[in-house]
Amino acid sequence: MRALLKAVDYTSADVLAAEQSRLFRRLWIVAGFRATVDAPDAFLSHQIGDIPILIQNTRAGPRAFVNQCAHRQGAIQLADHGQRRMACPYHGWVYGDDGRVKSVPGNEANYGFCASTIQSLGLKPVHLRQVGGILFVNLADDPLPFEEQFTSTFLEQLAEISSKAGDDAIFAKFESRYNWKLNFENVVDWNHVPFVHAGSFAPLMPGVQRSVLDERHASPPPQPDEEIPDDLRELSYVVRAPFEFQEWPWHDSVERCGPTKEYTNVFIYPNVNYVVMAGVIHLIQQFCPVEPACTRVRLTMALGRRTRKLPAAAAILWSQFKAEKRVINEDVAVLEGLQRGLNDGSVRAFHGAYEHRLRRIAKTYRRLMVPR
Amino acid sequence: MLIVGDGVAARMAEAIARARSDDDVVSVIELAPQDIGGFDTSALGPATSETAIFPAIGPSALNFARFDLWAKLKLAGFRIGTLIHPAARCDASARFAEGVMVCAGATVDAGAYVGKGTIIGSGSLIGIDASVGAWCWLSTGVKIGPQASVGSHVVLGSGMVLADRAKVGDTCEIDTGTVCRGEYPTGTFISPEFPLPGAHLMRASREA
Repeated sequence: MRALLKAVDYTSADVLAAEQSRLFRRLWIVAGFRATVDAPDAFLSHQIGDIPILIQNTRAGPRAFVNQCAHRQGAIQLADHGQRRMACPYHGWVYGDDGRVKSVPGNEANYGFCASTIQSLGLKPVHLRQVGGILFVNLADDPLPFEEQFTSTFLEQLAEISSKAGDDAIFAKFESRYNWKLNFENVVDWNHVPFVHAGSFAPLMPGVQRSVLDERHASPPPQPDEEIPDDLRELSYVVRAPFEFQEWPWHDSVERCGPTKEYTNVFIYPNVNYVVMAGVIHLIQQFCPVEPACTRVRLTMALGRRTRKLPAAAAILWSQFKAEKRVINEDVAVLEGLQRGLNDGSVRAFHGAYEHRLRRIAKTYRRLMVPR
Repeated sequence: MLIVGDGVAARMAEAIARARSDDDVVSVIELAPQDIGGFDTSALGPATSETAIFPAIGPSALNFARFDLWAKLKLAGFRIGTLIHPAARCDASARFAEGVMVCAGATVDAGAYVGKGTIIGSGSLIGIDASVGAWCWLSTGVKIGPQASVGSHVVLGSGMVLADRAKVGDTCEIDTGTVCRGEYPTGTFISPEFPLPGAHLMRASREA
């Protein structure tokens, strides 16, 4: 069956602009792990399309704002993460827990604002929601009800899994030369694992090897387009697979959310692959559109919540993070090659039965992309 | 001198021990990587004052694997040795903590300090008044400029140059093969997998 999306959906600036308004300013988007902003004044900053977002822990708990000073639109927090009060580094304007301007240095001498003017100024708030240990933001003024994007079963699973993620975490971001949708499609497509990751990841994942190579698991013919469901709620789901993780003594020092020999994928539409390895290593992969053929991949890896001292946490995170990036680099090479070949004359991809998830994603995407 | 270690680090330690004229007997117990964590010091017999032991484990897990073995040996009462190759050039005013290894052709200049359990690779240079913390691994040909400082549990890749007065915090890996200037906070990781701006520990892990 021909894919529902065309090459232009992956190469067009107009499509990307439409995605910004119809997907990224409309849907709930994962912002990060709650535990990484547990400390006073801890923050995460993020760019959702062209909108800079700040998630800041305040005395009233985590709050989300557009990361732009009310004065001259400078970023309140420049770093991707850290611990710092909400003060603009450009001219020193300070913001309170509710995002309103708290003080303007040199007001009388330089600005001449009256108290009521200052009180009327503030950061633009953004809707924030917490599910277990995951923070979501929504850029719409009137956000989509959560239950229209996710099933209650999924939210329960997500809450249970993510509530075990702790505050020992490592972060990195990098840009890859492909469309963001290719990355989400790639993580949903388990059939690439024995081919792309033959020397790294696949040998440790016996379930995938068997299902791909065993002819007895032959799939039925693909569904016709009109029979494919387009329910947004079905695009976020949890998959668990056996995996040959090694048991390490440090595993007993953190809370776990699953057995050692298990690899859990939590796909969160539109752009997040949340992975849990061995029940103790949590990884959020965010695929953020920058340009039609450029995706900013943000990786945040956290260990389970510590139950006792873990002096080697940094070393554990770093060695796992490096290993994960080597696997990701294998995907990046393939996806960049795919993107390079896309052009106006490209024929659409050709899907088989096992790609029913990709077809659901594409059909729902097309429904969401229709102007309201 | 008894060397307990793995792979390259054990061979480096053995070469230094054999090159030193004051070591009459050198024995090596080679551990497979998977056996390091569970190594039982009782296999070495009772601790004696005559035999020094050197835990020669590579940079695995930011040198925490070497630290763990060192801690086990200390708890069992063993005397930890220090290995400085006769062909290393160490100024008389340079200071070395317990369990340091300095390979052939390395130079440690005046006033420099090398912390506990740190391994300095062949041809490396620690500049005047520079400081390298405990449990670091400096690969071959690393240059630390004068008055530069390196924290604990740091791995510096081959050919790395840390400019004069540069600072690297704790638990970092920097493997760019280039000159690094300025300051690298605790929990900074720059490697072939994560080139600049690298990867960074978030708050809690930096404080651990």
